[in-house]
Amino acid sequence: MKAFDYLKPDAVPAAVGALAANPDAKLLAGGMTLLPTMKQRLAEPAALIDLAGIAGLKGITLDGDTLTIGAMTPHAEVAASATVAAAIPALAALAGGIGDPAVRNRGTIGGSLANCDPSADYPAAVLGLGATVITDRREIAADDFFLGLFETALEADELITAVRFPRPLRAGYAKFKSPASRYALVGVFVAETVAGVRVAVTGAAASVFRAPAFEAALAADFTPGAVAGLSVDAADLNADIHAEASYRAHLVTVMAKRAVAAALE
Amino acid sequence: MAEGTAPISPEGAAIGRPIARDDGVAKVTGRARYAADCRPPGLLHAVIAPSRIARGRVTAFDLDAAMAEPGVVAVMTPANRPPLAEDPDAKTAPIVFRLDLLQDDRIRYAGQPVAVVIGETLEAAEEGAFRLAPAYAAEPALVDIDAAEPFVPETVGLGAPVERRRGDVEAALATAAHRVQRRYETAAQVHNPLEPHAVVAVWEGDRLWVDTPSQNVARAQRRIAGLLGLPPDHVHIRSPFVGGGFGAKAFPAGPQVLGILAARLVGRPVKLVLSRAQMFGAVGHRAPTRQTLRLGLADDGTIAALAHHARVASSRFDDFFEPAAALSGGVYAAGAVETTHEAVRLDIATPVVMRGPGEATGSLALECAIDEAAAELGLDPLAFRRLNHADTEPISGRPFSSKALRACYDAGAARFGWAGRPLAPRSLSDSDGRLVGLGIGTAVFPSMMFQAEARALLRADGAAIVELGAHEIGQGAATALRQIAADALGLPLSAVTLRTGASDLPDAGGAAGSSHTATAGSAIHAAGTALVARLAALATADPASPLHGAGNAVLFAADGALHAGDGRRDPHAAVLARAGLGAIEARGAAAPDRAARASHAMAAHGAVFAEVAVDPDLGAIRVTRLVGAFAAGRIVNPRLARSQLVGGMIWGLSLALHEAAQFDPATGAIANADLGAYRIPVHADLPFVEALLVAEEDTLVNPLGVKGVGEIGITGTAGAVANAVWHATGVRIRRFPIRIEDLALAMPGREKEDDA
Amino acid sequence: MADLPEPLPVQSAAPEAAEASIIGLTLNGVTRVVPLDDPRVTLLDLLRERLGLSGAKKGCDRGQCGACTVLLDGRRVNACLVLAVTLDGAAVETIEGLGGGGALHPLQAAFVEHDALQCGFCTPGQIMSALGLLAEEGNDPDPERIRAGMSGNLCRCGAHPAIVAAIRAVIGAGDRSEMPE
Repeated sequence: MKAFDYLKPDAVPAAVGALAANPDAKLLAGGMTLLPTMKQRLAEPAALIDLAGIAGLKGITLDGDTLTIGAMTPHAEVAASATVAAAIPALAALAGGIGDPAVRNRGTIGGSLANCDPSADYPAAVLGLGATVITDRREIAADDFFLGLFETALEADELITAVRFPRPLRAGYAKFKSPASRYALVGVFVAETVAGVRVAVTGAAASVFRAPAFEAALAADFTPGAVAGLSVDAADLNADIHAEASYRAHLVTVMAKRAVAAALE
Repeated sequence: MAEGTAPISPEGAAIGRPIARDDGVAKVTGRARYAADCRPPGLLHAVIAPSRIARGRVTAFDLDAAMAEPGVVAVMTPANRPPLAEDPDAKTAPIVFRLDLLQDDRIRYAGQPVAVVIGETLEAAEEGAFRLAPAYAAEPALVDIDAAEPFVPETVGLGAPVERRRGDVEAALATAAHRVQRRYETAAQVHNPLEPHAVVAVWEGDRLWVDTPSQNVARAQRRIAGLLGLPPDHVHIRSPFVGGGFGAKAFPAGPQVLGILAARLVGRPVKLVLSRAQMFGAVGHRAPTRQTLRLGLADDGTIAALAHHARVASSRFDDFFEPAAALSGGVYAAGAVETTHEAVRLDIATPVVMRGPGEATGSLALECAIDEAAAELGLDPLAFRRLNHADTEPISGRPFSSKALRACYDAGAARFGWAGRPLAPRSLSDSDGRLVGLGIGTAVFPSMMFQAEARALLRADGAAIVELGAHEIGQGAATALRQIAADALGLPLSAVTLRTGASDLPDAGGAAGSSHTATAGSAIHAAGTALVARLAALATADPASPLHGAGNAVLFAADGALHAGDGRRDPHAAVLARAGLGAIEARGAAAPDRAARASHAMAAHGAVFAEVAVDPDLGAIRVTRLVGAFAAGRIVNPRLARSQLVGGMIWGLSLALHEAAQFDPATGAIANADLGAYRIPVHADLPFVEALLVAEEDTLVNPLGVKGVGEIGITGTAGAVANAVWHATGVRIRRFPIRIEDLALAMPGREKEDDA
Repeated sequence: MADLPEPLPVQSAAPEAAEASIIGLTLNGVTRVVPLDDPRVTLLDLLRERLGLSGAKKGCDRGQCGACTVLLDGRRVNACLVLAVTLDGAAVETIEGLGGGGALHPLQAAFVEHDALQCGFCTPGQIMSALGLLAEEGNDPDPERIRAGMSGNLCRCGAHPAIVAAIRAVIGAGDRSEMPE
């Protein structure tokens, strides 16, 4: 690991200020991805800005049909939250299936979204539910947030403070785990909302993406059978040592069916 | 050595008791000290810089950058590595592997150590190793077993014949009523003990103290002393706990010697621990194989011919050839049988023994082929195996010293519920709609034995200390050997202390080949027997002893006393007290019985039954039940033996479904060199694994009648799982580990089920 | 041995006096003030290399094996993925703090009784993870739930069935997992 300075601001403006002052700094949330990345020397920040000292970045609130989760809320807290379970049970289930328990105790929703790993679970929920990412300076719609492989709409010195989820009519998530890493090899989040049906796919391509054909089919008929004959183009999907693109394409269809079935439960 | 004392103490003694392991408390409290836990004063940390290319040369290091990292003390490269007394590439003994000890700038595999950075802290040394940024002149590397030109090596394994034949296989195949020919592939695998190789080296003048995990401290001592030009007794190796070895710690590896050299270079104690990624490099692996099985079958279901040919990969610079076909000479009766090997040389590290070397991969292919033969004939796979039971060892015609395989079939089938299994594949499903299949495999592992010595000391208080350089690698040796010692000395367990795990103790042979209990135990038995004989001589010659005048031959030792058959007894402590002795000592040695081994085949046997459930949409496989029944001679400690067998079975499951080291053809490096991407089974993958012990007596294999249980669990299991997958799905995958996409995309009727 | 060179003179020791920070944490119930010379030090390396608590093991240093599992503020974490410098005010519990007065904690005793260990290298992590599992998820004896909850802790020897049996025994659910139908 390259040597770095350690900063622990106690307020969002101080953190943003530190980040702006030091372009080679990185924000430290749960560290579940950042620390392994630094150990592998794939990241070499000159400073770490620890967000754990900032009050108010953590917590879950439900206001009407809007569920807000603070950026520093760990996955385990979301998974165990009665509030989340009541408002968006699929989201609680998703959080409870991320990584392993040790990861869920440390990893945070803000960290997961900012990192934008192609096989992370949360991006599927955020895109699938049409959530809003709230930062220190603005609100970013999910459709505008995920730009590509480890790439988001965040500016260099921008900090996620919370995520706001609209309560869907129903929603479901199904993923097939990579057997060793427990990452989502492919995960599909489906949601029926007042604004229509959304289907978001993670783990299959460079970044989470929506599947319009699946959305149209489900808008007409929200059943597993509606998507059984559909598929995404394997040419656009990842192929790596974990799975071939054709198998990932197959998984998208199967997981979409299962996510719909979960939503209907 | 005494004649006439009972070979084993009477019933009710220590052997056979399922006592909890002696090292259990140390391990559950965190007090067990593994090599990397040692922190001698003045300790520095050393970190290896591994090669990123598979073939070529190192052309430069950025030494300045490495040394500029605060806390970096030194960088060891070929330019300043302390000299060695032996060329690490010299074959100085019959079984010695070439080591990469910075002898030159040549790279022969990815992950080869090219330098060592030593720092005041681990953080500094790690960063220094990164900053060293070696520059390379890379040459094209070949890592694909299918792309290289094969040749026939002189031997396979550790000196086994490359080819064996009995009868005329080609003639028998030509005239057989049915023929089955199949090709199977297994992937390269990496031992990955949870404890990475570690060494803490402390020099005091020309004496060296080394804490390092080893499955063979005597061999490590000889090799290290030879390389350094030291008298062996100047090298003190301590290995009280080994955090898993599985063959990777059977031979001292290059990085362990580099840690010692680093300590020499800087004149301070050094700790060097491999990273997990580095465990995929210089410390060995299981070679990939390509195996072809040819079977000729008679109409009555008997096997007329069985030919097993294996192609295996090795490195370009050393010889270890996985003896993958060899086991097929000993499992099923066949009119004619042959086992043959060929090899290719690749730009990879030299493979080495890994739990069930040859047997694991060979059994997988054989058991699949046997299943395919049974299917060809329309026979139940268990009935087909029973029909072709080998009453004598097929390749040699020798009788077995003992063989309770039929009882294993019976016990396993009954516990598992094999009866009623439908013959046709894709016949069963569960309430979740998963396809269910049942498979079987025969387990077999040779009962090996090596040479060992032990020392026993009986103190005036009647307690004994037994010493030998044996190895507690998790298999329970420390416990089982103490049980053997207690019985050999006729003492209660509480009176016996065992000292092991150091090269200063008598050479107990290695913990390898499932032979350690047999080998080291026999030496302890001999030492105990000799000590009891000395004690008996003292007693019978002593007019004050109740046993005065009794012949040695009628005495036995038990419960801390010598006994005559007529009820007279004399406690050990009393014998010593009257003789005015503070202690007596005896040594014992053990070696295989050459005559018995020439006349008899010796092996443990078992039957493994697997149930799998396959998600028809995904091809995802879950092994829902795994039951093995094993006969392995005398079982010293059933509780620990079951753990060994269950562990082996989990390895078999993993061989069939999980583990593959994937070489990147572009770089020659292993692409999945971490525990996220190299898949070993986790708790969720293992709902039910059970091992049954089947009684078996063997008076020929060694004085204890012990066969060994460390590796047999892998054999049989891998094939049973693969056969169950076929039975569930009707799809026969012959490339291992089975990839779920191969299964999913090949499964018949997949499309039809898509309208859930 | 004459042909070995004299040891090199060792470069003057002190890593550049990085501005040392001091953290206060509760370690196995005891408040400790720990000076830190380097913010890169992980909780695992702090325990093992600086505080002499070597029960937590380093099996991968990437959060993939679980051998370094400890409890941080009562919850399971991989100590290799937590920077020590972030722990000011935290409570850390390691295997060394388990049990008391020479007695084994029930989980430790159950692991011995069920032979839920072989080489022992993963064992402190398994036990701390089991402790965390019971604290985080309660005493649900469903073996599938236990298996899922323990799957971050790798074991290479194959002690898994015995580990699950030991945990179930502590919950009071019997000590054998029945063979499924």
